[in-house]
Amino acid sequence: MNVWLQALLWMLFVVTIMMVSGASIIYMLRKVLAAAHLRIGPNTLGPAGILQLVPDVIKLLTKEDRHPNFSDKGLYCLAPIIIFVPMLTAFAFIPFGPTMVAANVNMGVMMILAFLTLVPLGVFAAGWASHNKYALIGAVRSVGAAITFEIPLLLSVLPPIMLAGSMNLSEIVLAQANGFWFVIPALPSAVIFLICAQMETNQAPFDMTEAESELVAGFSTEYSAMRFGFIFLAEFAGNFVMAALAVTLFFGGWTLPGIDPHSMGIFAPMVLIIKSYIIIFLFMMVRGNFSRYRVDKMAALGWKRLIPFTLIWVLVFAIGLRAVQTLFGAGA
Amino acid sequence: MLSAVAFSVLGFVILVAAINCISAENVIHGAYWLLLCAIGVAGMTWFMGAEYLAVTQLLLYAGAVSILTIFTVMVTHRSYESACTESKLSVSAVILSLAFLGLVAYGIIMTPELAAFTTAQEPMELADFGAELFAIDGHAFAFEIASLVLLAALIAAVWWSKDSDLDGERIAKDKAARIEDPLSEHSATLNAPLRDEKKEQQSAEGQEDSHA
Repeated sequence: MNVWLQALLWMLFVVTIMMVSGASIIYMLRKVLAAAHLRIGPNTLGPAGILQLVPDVIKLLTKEDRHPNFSDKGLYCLAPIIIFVPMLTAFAFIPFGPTMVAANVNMGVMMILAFLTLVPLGVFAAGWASHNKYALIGAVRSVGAAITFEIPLLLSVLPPIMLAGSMNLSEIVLAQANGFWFVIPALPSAVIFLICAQMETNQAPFDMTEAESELVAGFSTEYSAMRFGFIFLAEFAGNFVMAALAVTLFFGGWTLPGIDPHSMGIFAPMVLIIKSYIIIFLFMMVRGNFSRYRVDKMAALGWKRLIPFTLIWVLVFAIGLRAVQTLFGAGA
Repeated sequence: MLSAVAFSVLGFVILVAAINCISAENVIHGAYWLLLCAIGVAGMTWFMGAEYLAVTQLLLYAGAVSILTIFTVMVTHRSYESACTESKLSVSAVILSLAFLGLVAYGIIMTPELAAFTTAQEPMELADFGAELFAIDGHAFAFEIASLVLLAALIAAVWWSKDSDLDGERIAKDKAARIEDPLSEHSATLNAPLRDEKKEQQSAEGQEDSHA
């Protein structure tokens, strides 16, 4: 097939996955949060309110697109793009099946995390360019949060990389299919990864950048119409990226235990998506059941607990792994 | 062909971003141009086949260093207006950067392996890369020296920040004095300690003048 056509089809695939998961996660969030709070959630439009998304999108598309008088116009218009594009790019590295990965690169894990580190810069640009004090406070918090959680997040992905001996996400999945899920030896890393993922995606209890009871809507206060739509979509797409990355690193990716990975065929992407949605459900239950952290407490959690703990854990894990490998042969 | 197009486009982006970065009057704009420049350099190293270097560039320079730059700006500039300064062309800086460019160009031309380098090499396996980087007869020594430079920078930063620490102590003392003030008094007394200090300073200066 033509190289350009192939690239175009992969791009279409990535954009579709992002759009569809973004939209369905919004619906799911409403339902799960409503259930957690003993409410019903959207129920008027369509069966169980599933068509609620259609008027939502119409509203986003038809609202007036305006910007504040004193805003920094260039950066204000650019900010949603700086948030949206890295999130979209991160989708390209997730393996949905044996050959279903848009960009199969050796550094897959690091590529996803490298692109996700650009998102807080977009959030900061949005808050700073709005020239609004609530937006600015949200922006400053996002930068503070970014330097808090990114170090433990990077350290927590190291044990699966050590176990698989590769940073290629497809190889990490196959290494788990031939052995065991990496959550079994590296459970503390999986827990820290999920906590940091919650911080990365700006979700309660770590949503200080847009804490609605203190900051109106934080960094996105001044945004409306489709510019807000991009920020909104990127946030929910981020849920899926982090969940899919967690599944790929710790929970066997698109494989199932006891089933030959090459006979999965069409079921591979379905397995990955179902597993990811179970993780997203976990995120939402945390969101529905915990109250928001205070901003300085989150910094303390990151710097005083997560970073020292992950540093020691990675060291202990590396020594333990090497000891097991020398005692029982290199096959482990 | 593909890499030649990518190389020209990225080269153009990097140059435009770099020029805008140093000529931007708003320091935040400068930081975002620097971000674009770092992403461009990451893309260029990627097309040269140095995957690990490209990802490190993206993760550390585009992600972490940009965040830290903006964090520093946030801590030092309080208002939107003070973020803007007129950019001036410094002759000494131009000479210094041209000298650095000459030195790097000389180094590349004098090293035959670098001068003969072409793109589209096979990406190196990560394990081989690590072994090469940390081997005793490889780059371990240079790696350790680089970390010493960082350590020196860290110590220098702590040493420089000592003075502002004293300022912090003074502010804390002022605050404590204000809290000790009886709250039943008029609210103007809340600022009294600060004002007294200013008066004392002024009178002390006056005395010095008279002595002279």
